[in-house]
Amino acid sequence: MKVLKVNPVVLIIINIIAPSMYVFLNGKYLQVFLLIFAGALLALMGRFKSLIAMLAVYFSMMAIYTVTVGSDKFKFIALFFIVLVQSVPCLSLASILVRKYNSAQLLSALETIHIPRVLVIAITITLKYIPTFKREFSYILESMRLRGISFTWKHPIKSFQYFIVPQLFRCAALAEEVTAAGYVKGIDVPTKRTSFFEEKIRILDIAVLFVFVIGLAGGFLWKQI
Amino acid sequence: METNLIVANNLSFNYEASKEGISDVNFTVGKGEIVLLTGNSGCGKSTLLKCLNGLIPTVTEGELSGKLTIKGTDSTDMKMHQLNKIVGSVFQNPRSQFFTENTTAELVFSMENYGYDKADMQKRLKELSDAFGIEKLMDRNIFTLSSGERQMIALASVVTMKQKILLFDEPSANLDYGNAMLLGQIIQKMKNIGYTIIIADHRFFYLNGIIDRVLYLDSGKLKLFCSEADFKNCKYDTRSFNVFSLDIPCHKNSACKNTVSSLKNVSFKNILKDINLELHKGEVTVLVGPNGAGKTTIAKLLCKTYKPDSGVVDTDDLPFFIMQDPDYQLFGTSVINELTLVKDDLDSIKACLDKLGLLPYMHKHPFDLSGGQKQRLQIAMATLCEKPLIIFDEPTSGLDVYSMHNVVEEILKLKEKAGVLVISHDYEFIRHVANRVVFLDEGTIKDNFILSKDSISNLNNIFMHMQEERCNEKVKD
Amino acid sequence: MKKLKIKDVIMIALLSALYMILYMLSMVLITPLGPFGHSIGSGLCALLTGSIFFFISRKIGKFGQFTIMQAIVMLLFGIMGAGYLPWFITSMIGSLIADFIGSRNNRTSVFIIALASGVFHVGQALGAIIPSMFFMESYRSEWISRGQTPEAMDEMIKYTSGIMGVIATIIVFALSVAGVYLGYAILRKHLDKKDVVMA
Repeated sequence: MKVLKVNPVVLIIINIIAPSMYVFLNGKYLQVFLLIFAGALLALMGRFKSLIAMLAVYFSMMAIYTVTVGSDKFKFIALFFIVLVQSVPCLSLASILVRKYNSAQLLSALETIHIPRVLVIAITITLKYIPTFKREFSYILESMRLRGISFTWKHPIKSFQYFIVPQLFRCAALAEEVTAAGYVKGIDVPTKRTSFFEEKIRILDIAVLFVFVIGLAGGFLWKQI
Repeated sequence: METNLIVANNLSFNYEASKEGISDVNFTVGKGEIVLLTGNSGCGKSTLLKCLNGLIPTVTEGELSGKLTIKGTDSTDMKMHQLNKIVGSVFQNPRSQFFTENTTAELVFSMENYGYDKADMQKRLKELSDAFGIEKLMDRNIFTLSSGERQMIALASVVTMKQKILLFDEPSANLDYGNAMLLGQIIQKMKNIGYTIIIADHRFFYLNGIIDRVLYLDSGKLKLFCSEADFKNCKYDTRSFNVFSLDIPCHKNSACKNTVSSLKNVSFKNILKDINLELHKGEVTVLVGPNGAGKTTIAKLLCKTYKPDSGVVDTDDLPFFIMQDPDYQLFGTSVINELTLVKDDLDSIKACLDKLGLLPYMHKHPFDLSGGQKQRLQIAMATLCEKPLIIFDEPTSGLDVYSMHNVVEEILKLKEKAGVLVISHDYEFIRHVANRVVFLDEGTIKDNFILSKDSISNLNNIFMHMQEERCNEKVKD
Repeated sequence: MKKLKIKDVIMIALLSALYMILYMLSMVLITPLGPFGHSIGSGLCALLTGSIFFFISRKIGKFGQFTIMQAIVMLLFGIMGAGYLPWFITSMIGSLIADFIGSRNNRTSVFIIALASGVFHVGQALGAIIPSMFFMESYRSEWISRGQTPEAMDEMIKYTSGIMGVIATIIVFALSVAGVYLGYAILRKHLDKKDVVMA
């Protein structure tokens, strides 16, 4: 069977809109609809492992909810899980988003929705330096250990200071270097920026969005009845 | 044919804050020339380079006068992005030269900025990957590449706009000997197909025999040499063109064989196999080998960062490890405060600062120091820490000849009190400091000898070998 | 008022990377507390990132600094599939107000910066608190049909979403203020004396 390829923009839009719909729609309806919708999408995209994981988490949470909701003593647990369970379908779509597409592809999604150039550049930089700084934090911790000033809960503030200060000052110094490197690569060009990884929105993407919107509209009708 | 691509007339620049500007600089660069721009740290090399790529006056603020013409256009009439379609700049700082973590994304980054459409980008990408032999490197995480591979990506990414003038800022600082020699070959090939290349560096052994013109800066003043031969005949003591012909006396070896640390039959993952190494007090052991041979892993085993899979790492106390990038190692609020974290004794701190010429800076914030001063601060820490073993990782990358000699002196002083292990690929520096040379390749120790008059040829062979390996690899691509 | 330059934006982008790492760290730390934890997660993040706020104010100190940082954070969560509309809206409003409060120059007093950080992070937190109120509401009828009395249900909803919402907001604000003072304590000696003006 041919696997459905979905433009990341579609997944992003769905994830941005879906959770907010709890404001307008009946929670139960939306919950079930999102589960079916996300499940179908995962199946069409050939992500069966994610599908099974999502269903397993969802139904075990619902089981806990059903068991505890009747009891006065434990209904706080039910409450806890019913709030948590709402995010399961969206989280599984999000996990696909992060695992299937690289950061450049995700970024191109922003260019599809016309975010100002300077922000696109800024986010490119932030995305690159998140893993970089994570690595460097381990260097800092390592050199704290070798200097005999390892992180300790006895002096949390002092330890935190050793941990964060070098990185803050590095950011200030890096800003200069990155600015220079950016200028020679044309971050100041006035014409519209293009994206190598941008993919055109195709009929199939629109179809997926259409189904999503129909589902939400159905929720409004359901609420009327 | 246009003869002079770049013409500088009475070019001067003064910074608002520092004195490291340039004054009354006059020179021309012709099409297809290889120009070396050199001089000591702070001489104005990078200032001149910034004038050429437009960072002055666009980003760096200060007072610019005189005239700079590039390809017949006055540079002040060009916007930064117009200038950078003609002039490509290769930055060498591995932490800031790339904008993305993905090779393909990096190569298209400037084309995206210039608004190329997708078909054009694909076409150019194909051209670049053919020209630089980097098909295999496409769509990879840049962090996982070797330093030589990264260099190729950096090179390819600056000519995406088909720039014909290339500027290099200290390319040798982060390359091992083999890769530097390889870069020399690539630069010559690029010259042959019509590129004009300006390299700012204080090491230039890898450019031996291919330089057309030398711009030598001394405190912002320019001295021009119209051929490599002229430059070689001048009295300026350069880090020689042919490093192997240097006449440097070897150290006498102390009789003292006090072992401070040792590795016995140590293996670690797939990186190291059956390593045996003893480090002695009063001895400087230099670890050489190509990038990725496992040199840093040995240092980390000694620091107990890693535990060996088999064998014994024997150290009494944690060593003091001076990393290549000092920024991860500075935690204090001032130079003095930094050192009190090591040893809370003001008198010995001051004595130590005085010896290293850091006394005037004792109240400065460590991050406000220059690169060389930061390194001396690290050496001060090493001096004060009273640890039995001190490890240096590439202490001379990016240093000019005078600063290198300072480091040599400090290390020689340090070894009186402790064992010293140095990871380095700086041949000249190794000749100055080493008592013992350990050659690590493919995770095993291939050679371990006392450096003496008779064994210099061994060291030379190791460097020749590393160069051949690197250059042959290129042919395989 | 000085305008942000490209270099300023790049520094904000770099500091946002740092902010994101600490944000994700605080999300991991707060997970055991569940939905309530989620709404005060911004507070924990604010406590850890107060030093970043202080640093930005001293090194940049221009209008737009907080809004751009928030926009970067929101868009990143957006493309990672973790963002949703009410959260974006309250967060962006919060950061804009924070800019109006605390981005006049690079000598803003610690107290004002603390206030700005408080508003910034309350903006983030409200994005989680407000929808959860509606969410509880939409389940009210179902719980009632399962045998709970409407009064008991209203009591519970009021408690969990109303009172909890207020408490969460206060906690977030207090943690943000504490975070900036912590940042000030950490950085005071590191920044030049002329850069640091007492409140």
